[in-house]
Amino acid sequence: VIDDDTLQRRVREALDSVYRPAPGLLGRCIEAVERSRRRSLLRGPLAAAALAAAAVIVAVATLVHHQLSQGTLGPAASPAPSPAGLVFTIDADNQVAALDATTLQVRWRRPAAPSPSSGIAPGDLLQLSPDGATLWALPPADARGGTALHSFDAATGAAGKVIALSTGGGTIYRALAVDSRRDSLYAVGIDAAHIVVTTVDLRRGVVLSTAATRTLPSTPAVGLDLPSDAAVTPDGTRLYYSFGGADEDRAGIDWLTIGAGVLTPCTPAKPGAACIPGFVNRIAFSGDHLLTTDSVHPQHLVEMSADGAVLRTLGTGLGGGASDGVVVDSAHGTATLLGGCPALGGMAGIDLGTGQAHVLAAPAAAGNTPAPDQPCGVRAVALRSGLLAASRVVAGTATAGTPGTVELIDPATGRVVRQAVLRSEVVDVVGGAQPGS
Amino acid sequence: VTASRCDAEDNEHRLAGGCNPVGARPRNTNVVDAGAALLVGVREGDVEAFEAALAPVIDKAHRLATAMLHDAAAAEDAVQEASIKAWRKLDRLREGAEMGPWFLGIVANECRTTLRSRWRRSVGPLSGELGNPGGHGAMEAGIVASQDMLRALSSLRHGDRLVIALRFWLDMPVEEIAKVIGKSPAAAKATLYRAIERLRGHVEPRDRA
Repeated sequence: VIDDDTLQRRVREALDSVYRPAPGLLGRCIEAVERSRRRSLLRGPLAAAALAAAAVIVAVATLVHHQLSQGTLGPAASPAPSPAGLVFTIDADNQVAALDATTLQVRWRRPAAPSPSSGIAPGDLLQLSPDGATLWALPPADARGGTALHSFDAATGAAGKVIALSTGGGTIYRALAVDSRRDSLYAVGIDAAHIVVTTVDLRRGVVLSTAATRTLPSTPAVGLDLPSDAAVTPDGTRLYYSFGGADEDRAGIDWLTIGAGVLTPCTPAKPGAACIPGFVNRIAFSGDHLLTTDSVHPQHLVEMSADGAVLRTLGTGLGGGASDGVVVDSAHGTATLLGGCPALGGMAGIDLGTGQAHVLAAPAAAGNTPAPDQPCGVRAVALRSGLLAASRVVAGTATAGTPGTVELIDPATGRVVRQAVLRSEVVDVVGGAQPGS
Repeated sequence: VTASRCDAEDNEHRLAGGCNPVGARPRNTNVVDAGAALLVGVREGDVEAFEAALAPVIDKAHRLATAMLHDAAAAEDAVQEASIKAWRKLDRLREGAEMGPWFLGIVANECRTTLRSRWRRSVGPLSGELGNPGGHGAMEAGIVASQDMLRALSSLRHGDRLVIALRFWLDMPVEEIAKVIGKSPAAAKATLYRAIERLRGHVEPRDRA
C-alpha cells in the first residue's frame, strides 16, 4: 500500500512536470476584467442609448432648425468632463492615478515614468494647472527627485506633453508650485552646487528660464539639500520654497520675488543661511502670513510675516516631527495638522483667530503607531467636499509594490471616513478643486 | 494582526504588508486597516482593490488550474476567465469572507467547465496532453511515472481531483480546503480521505503491474 507521503510526493512530481510559471498573469487577468467591464458598461444600456440617441438627434435637429430660423445659433459649447470631483495621486512606482473624491475608486491610472531606482520620500510632486484641466507630475528617477514634467488630462488621464526640465548638469527637481496668475509652474531642484528654479509656461508647455537661486555650501551636507515644498503666495508676488536635510545651518525657507520674467532671491540675514532658517516642512498661507511647522517636540504651528518674522508660535498637541504640513481653511479661519504615520499620528485643528488648538485625534502613545481608525498621513490636501485626503505612508520612504492607503478625513471630527488601498504607497496627493500649491 | 494570523500566511494580510516574516516592515495596526479597506473596495467594484486582492492568490489559482487541467496554457485561460467571473460576482463576496478561498472555488468551477467543453469536443478529459508525445506536459518531460500519476489523477472525479490538488500540491490545511469547496471541515476531511483512497486505488494496480 502506498503511504500518504509517497502518494503526495508522486502527485507533486507529476503536477510539477506540467506546471509552467505564468509571469504577468495578474496583469492579463485585470486587463480581461477591464475589457469585460467596458463591454458590460456599453452592452447594458446599448438599446436604451440607441433610442435615446434617436430622440436626441430629433430634438437637436428641431432645436437647430428653430435657432437657424431665429438667427440665434452661435458656436456650440462642448462641456468637458470636470476633474473637480477627483483626487490625484502619484505613488512610489511612478503611477499617476485619479480617484473619485467621494468613493476613492480609481477613475484612471497611468504610468508617468519607469519605477524609480529606489524608495522615495513623499514630496511636492503633483500640481494641477490653474484651470484644473491638466495634471502635471514630476516622477522621481531616484530618491532625490525627477528631471521631467509629465502632463495628463485630469478628466481622462490621457497623456500629454513631457517637458524636460533638466538639460544636463545633473539637476534634479523635487518640488512644484503653480502660479495661477501667470499660468506658470515653478520647479525647484538642486544641481551639484545650487538650488535652482525652472519656470515653465503651462499654456505653451515650454521652459522659460532656469535660475540658480542659492549657492550651496561646498562642505558635505548632513542628509541632502533637497527642496521639500514650494508654494506661490495667493497674490502671486512671491515663490517660497523650503529645503535642506538634517543640518539646520543649511536648511530653511527662501523666497523669490516674482517680477516680469525675473525671479529675485531674498537676501539672508546671515550669509550662506536660509532667509528663514530652520524650517523645512510644508508651507501654507493665511492671508499675507506664512504658516509652517517646526520640528521640535511637542510640535508647533509657526505663523510668520511674509519676510519671516515669527509672529506667533502655537502649540498643536502633536508630537515632534509628527506633521509635515498644514492645511488652511481660509473661509473658517482654521488650520488642520495631520501627524505622520511613521510618527505618532494624530490630528489637530487650530483656530487661527484665537490661536487655540483642539486635538481632534490624539497621537498614539510613545513607541506605538497610530491605530487603524485614527488619522495619520502625509501630503494632506483639502477637497471641495470639505474633507481632507491624505496618504498613509508607514515609513519615511515609500516603496514601490508596498500597498498604500489613501484616506478621507473629516477635519471637523478627525474621523477617518473612507480608505482605499492602492498598489504602491502614495507620495503626493492633490485635489481636483485645489489648483496651486 | 495577531501572530497566529501571520503564521497562517493569511493572504489578505500578507498583501497588506503585515505578515512579513523577515520583519523588513514592522507589524502594525495599519495592516488590519488596509486589509479591511481593501475588501470594502473589492466589494464596491474597485478594479484597483480587486487587483490588489487577487495578487496574493493568483499563483495558487494558476497552480490549481494546472492541477485540474494538466495544461499550462489552458490553466492561464481558466484563471483569466475566473477573474472575470469573480469580478461579476463581487456582490456575492460576503462581508468577512476571504478573497483567497472564494476565488479558488471560482477557478475550480471554471476548470470543470473547461473539462466539460473539451469532453463535448470529443477530445476527452486531459487525454490530449497525455496521449500526445509532441505536446507539452509529462511526455515532453519524459517522466513516465508522472505520466501514470497524471492519468490516475485525470481518471478521478472533479471533486476528488480538486481536494487532492488543494491538499497535496497547494499544501492547504483541511479548514482552508473546506472554504474552497464550500463544506464543513469535517465533510472536507471525509471528502479528502475518500479522494486519496480512490487515487490510491488507481495508482496501486499499475504499480503492481
